[in-house]
Amino acid sequence: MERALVERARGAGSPGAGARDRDAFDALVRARVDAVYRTSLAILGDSADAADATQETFVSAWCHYADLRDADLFDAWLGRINLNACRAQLRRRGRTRVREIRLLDPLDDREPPSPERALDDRTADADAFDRAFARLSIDDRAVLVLHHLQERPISEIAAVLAAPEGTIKSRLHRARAALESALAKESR
Amino acid sequence: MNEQLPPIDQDLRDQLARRSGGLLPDDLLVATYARLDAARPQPRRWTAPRINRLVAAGAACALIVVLTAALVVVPQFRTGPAASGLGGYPADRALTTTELASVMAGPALATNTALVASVTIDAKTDVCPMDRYPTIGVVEGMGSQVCVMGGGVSTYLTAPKAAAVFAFRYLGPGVLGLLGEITPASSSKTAFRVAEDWPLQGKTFLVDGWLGADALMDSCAFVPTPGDVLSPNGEDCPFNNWMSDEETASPSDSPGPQPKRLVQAGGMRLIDSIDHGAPLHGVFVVRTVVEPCPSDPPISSRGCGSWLVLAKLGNVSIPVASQSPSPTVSPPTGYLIDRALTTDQLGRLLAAGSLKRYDTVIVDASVTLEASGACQTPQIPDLEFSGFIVGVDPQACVYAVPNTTIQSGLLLLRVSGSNTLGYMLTLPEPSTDFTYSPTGAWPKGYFLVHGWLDTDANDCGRPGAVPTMMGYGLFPDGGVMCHAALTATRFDPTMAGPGGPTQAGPPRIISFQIPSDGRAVDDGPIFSMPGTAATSGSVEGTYVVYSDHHCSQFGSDCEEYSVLTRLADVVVPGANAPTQSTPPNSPATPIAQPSPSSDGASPGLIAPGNRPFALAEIPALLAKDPTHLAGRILVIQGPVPIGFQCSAVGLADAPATSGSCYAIRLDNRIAPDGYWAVQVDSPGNLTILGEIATGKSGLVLSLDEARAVWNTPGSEEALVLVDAWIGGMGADACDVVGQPCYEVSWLGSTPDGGQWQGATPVSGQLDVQPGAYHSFGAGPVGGGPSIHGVFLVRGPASAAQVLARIDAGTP
Repeated sequence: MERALVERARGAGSPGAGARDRDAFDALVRARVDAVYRTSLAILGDSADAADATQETFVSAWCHYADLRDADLFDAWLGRINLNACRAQLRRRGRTRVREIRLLDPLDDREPPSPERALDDRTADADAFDRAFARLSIDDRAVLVLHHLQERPISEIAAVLAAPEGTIKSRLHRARAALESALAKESR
Repeated sequence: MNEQLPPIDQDLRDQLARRSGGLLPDDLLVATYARLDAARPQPRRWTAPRINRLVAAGAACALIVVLTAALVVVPQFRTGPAASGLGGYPADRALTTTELASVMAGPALATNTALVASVTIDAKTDVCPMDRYPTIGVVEGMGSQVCVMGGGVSTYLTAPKAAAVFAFRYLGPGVLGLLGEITPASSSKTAFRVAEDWPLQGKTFLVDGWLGADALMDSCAFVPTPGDVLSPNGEDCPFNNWMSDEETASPSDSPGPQPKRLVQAGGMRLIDSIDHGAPLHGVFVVRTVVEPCPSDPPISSRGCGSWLVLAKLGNVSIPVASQSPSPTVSPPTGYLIDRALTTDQLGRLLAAGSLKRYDTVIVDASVTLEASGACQTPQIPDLEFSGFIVGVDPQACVYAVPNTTIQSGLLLLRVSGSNTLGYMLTLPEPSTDFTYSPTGAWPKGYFLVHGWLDTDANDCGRPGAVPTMMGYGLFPDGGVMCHAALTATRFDPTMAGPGGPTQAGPPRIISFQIPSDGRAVDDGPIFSMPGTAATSGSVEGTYVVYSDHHCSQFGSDCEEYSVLTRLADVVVPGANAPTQSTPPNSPATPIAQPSPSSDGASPGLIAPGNRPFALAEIPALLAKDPTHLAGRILVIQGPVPIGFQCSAVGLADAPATSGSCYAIRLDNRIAPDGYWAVQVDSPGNLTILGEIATGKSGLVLSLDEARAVWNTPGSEEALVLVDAWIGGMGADACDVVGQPCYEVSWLGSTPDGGQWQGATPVSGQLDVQPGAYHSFGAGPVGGGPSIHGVFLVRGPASAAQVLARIDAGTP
């Protein structure tokens, strides 16, 4: 079913072979827009940027559909385009320079824990994580999202990142180490 | 489940789930469909027969691929040798290659003159950089380089070479804009008559006939505009344009033998200055297009066909005097992108102080080993293996790592101090070209590749180690590893394909190590490679590459490569024109990346009173300076044509390189009306850095005005001149000799515009790249009192880059 849609979208395997089927492509978009948006959001961390990257992904896919050689690899191919769109989105936005100066609070050690304080801590944790994550390269962010969030198999991760399977494991380790380092820097 | 990979980290998963959570934006799907619908030709009003929706939608993406069949040689209208002294083109056929060469070598045609020629275009997209249009290639068989730019439906060739009949507009000396490949009327003639069946959608063709217009009583919602000269608008309200085989045509719906065919010609009329008076006979370039139907709502995806008149062929006289083309301008001088430096050239570079620390060069030389201690300097401790390069004046020391023996041959050297260089390796003698193409076969070992490396710092986002590099090691300590693509053309992140850009040939995994040698431009993750700008993204250059190790990708064998370094863009003072031809895979124009982090950057120049220099003032300005302003940036008033020379300013009698005059060339681009920042790359050769945006204050803006410019959509990365105070403060080892200095810098509207306060701007302060203070403010390394000046700055405001301080200069 899915494969048929992919084939129809590029004008093959249908009675009117040769004419590209926008309806079929629209159906592919409909089925994937949520996943593409959430991947973009996880990588970029900004909903407006993620929406732009999502749109760019599908427009680019439609315009470069001829580059898709194997219909079975549509999702991996779309994932690569999505990654490129996120990269382009970051470039358009310009680099967000992280220059935080943390002020030491001498009262930190003396404050008793409270529910409000716990909420603050969680918020602070999330902020620190987002700042640290923003320090990572797009590829590092992507490999962490694909594995730890989406639990994609290694073959899919390799296909999306256009990297040999043999290097995915090392990339994951490297990305993880980079994240730890960035988190440590944020917590200083 | 995924045993080869580490286990899922639940905390990390929770954080990522939080980041990607929330509702899908309500309008995202609708907006995506709208974007897909909008990926179609520009809208217009007039309609012709309706075309299937699917065909229309398919046309949206076919726009950029119109020359697929370009290898098919189209029979000419009437082939035959050009008569000597043929004039009055178009007579009855396309220009031959020889005739086009004569035309292009002769006096400049009027800008936008349309012509048709049967030629071969060599798809080289890495030459002829032009902001206005992408490069398609160069015309083969021309005496001097003739570049073909694309701007309408044609943006690149799908074959390495395309031989066909093409319609062009003359954009300037050496530059043609492609209107399209011409579909012939038949095997015996090129141009159609109006009454004949015209080609279907997407085709470009010639029509020999009359163009007329009927005035309508419509009220027009807006005034028609010409559009781009290579892709004009069709709108011409309140007129209906038509074509006919007769001067007086009958209505299109009448049964007469000479009906008129309604066409869109509004933009063409404006561009070619054709009024709506009497019908005009000529040969017109026409394209069948598909556009939204007039009565449909904007979101409709139906398409209607119509005919867009792109141009009227001009009358081009072919120069009689010389049928054999000869170059009209000298090639660029001094750029060593295609060969190694000689020892003499290295000496001149060192004597002129043109090499910066960490610049990498290749020198064809030998080294004499000297006794220990011969070359000791404060920066470089004594090493056992050191010596002097034979034949270099001033004397230049070369250091090698202890276990390396310096050899003779093509030595890759990295500048480590004043007249001291670190030996990196000896390159093998190239078998053919000096550099390899990114898309061609690569050898084993070390070799050079000329291309575009995507050095976006976001791809290298690991914190750097503590810099310890001393300038002589093969692999510097510390630094970050990046993965990127090395491509034949500028990296396009929006394109699909392995590694990002679509790239011919086998997949290549490129990694490069950015040495932590003092180019830190931000807090931790962002570094830049020597010779590249941190925000430049894809950077053209000559890179030293080595085959790293064998790998496997998608079940196929592959090689993994690494980039060791990028060769410095050097200009040899007083260098003569190269005696050898530029290799096919090298750009015809030199690379001139601004080097915003270069130490001691010479200020740029603006005319007194903060006015731009006029064209006529530049020769005198260059002649007056002992170094002829090499490397300096000038603010000039457009338009500036390609290849303006002394003769254009009344100094034709002076030798081209005498002290009084220079033959000035602009880098194959045209700077039209406006204010432009240009960089002097070599004597008489200017490279456009970009157009300078203006504001309420005129050419030189306040910081607030600069921000207003960058906040304007489409101008986020505009160049501006800002009158401001530059401040700087050292954040780490700025006082340690040999160590890089992380010097935060900012522009302020007052001298005490605030100290660096991290993410919070103070008193309107604008953060700029680290090091800008001492580089452009001429203040001490590591910061000091604020310094007032006019600065050339590129946006966006979130990552502003100072390119130069601009001083007043007197021509």
